Amino acid sequence: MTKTAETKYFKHVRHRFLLLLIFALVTMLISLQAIMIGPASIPLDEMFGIIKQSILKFIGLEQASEGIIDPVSIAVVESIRLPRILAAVLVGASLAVSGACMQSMLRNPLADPGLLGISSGAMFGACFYITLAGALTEWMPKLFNTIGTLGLPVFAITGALGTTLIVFILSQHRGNTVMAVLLLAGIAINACIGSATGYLIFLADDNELRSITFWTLGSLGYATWKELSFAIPLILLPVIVLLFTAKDLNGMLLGEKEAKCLGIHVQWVKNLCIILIAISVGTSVSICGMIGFVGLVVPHLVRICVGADNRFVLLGSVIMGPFLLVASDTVARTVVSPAEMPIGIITSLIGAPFFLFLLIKSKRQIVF
Amino acid sequence: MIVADGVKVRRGGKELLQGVNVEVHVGEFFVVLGPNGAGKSTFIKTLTGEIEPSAGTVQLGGKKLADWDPVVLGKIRGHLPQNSDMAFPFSVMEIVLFGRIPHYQWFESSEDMKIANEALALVGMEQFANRKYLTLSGGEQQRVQLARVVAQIWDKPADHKRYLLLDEPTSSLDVVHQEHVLHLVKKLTGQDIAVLAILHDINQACKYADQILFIKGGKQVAYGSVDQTLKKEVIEEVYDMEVTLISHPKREGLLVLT
Repeated sequence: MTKTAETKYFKHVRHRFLLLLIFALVTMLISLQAIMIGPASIPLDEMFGIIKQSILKFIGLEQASEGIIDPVSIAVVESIRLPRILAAVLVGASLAVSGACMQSMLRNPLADPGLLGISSGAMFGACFYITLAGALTEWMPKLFNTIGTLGLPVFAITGALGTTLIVFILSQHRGNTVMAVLLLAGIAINACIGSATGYLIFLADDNELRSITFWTLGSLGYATWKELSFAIPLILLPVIVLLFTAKDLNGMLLGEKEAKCLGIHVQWVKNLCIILIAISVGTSVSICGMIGFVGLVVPHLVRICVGADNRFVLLGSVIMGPFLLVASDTVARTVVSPAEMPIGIITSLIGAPFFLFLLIKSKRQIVF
Repeated sequence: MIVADGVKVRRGGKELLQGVNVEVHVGEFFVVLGPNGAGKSTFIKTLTGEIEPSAGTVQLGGKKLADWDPVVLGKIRGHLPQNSDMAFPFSVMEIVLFGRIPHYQWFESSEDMKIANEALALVGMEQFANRKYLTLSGGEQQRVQLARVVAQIWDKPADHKRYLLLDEPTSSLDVVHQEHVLHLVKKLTGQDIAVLAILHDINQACKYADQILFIKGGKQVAYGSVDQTLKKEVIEEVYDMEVTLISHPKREGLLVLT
């Protein structure tokens, strides 16, 4: 009896790793596929040649062009699709893994990174920049001309981190981060910032309104190498470190007191997670606007596939988040091409029915 | 040995504990009794370190709680909470393996698995290993949680001394399983484990306990062996209720009738 239960568990662990490996391969394939699809389609061999070149170029090893590749294709892949897909992968991973961490820390399946005020803060920063960019440039021409096109992401990330900091400070009590207060403070601050943003929207003219609307719905189209050069470390490092909190987050699912009795440095883990989530999601939101749904639902999709153990959920989120975003983005930029649909519409359109399908299939398992 | 020396707790101007002085020895089953709101849970919280006493000290194994490395302490001291609900769908096995968290780095070894299995078998839940925790009844969940804390302190440290703090471990169990769990806990005291439990049934306490602490309104009313503490006047004082004590017809000891 004991022997079989034991081997069964280890078999289960192996199955889950295998499943995640398959997901990872599928995500990689779909990302490569996404490079080829678009208004100008790129053949497979050309794509590999271009990717090799631009990677070498990005890390600073310039190589002589091989000459056979169509320069238009090079331009399309290098300056449009590659940064865009890379951004989709990074943003997807960061939103999904942050959502999974938030849900575990708050022991609440409905939590998502937005609760920390990240999205509303970023939204405020972005609207602030969009409506007041002209005035600001006049006021401090030197500073704003050096920031240039990075102005929007810089303001958005400042807004995101600022709001998160306020929510975080409000939730402190006797040297302890009280998660219930954090949740409520987050809701209150979101409402405050929301009304300030509303005021800015009220002030905006038609052109600014259009930019704001587009930014609200989210798009990966803004991602260029310039943005990515600061976004890659700011997203990637926090995501990697978050993966290592999985075991501690498992213990914290029993409750914070129980986790302490299991030797987990609960306060430390909470603060670390909040800071890392704020940085990575703040950066994500700042380069591609607000993309809903991913942070909340991807962790649940992963749980349905591999169970609730965070060591698999976090890893799975880092794989499934990019999958959902890359797929959605490819649809978003092809269905109405040459125009482009906001990605937020597609993530929900693809994600929600898929989630419902899994939900209905495994209802018994999830509920009780 | 756990030593509570003059432990007082003040919260919001109220004295929740007004000086508790007890010693819980390894190999002893120590039972805390008292009416609702007497401060039993507050007392156990001072022992887990969740509440810092406003006066007095708590020592475990000769060291103040704050001086312990949390991971080392996690290996030798287990705490069973009154209730533990999970928000996510874990299997019973996964819950019990959470008890092994202080013992492994990233993934459980087969040794951890073996221990988790044996702990489940001890509480009579081994056939539920692959069931979802949330599908179990309250009593079954409580036994799984007990298996978790037993798995947590399974390994014997160099001095063999381990500690188990149980906050109403039998509250959701039927009579048979109450007896089963208390019998199991009593057996654990034979392996150099000190057990401190909050119970509500005086007769069960009388059957299994080595030491009893009666508290009421945060005050320590009586403390000592069963013979010393289980007296008509003590029980009546603690619970404000008339009781009759008779000797048990089948075994040694007293029965408290209400």
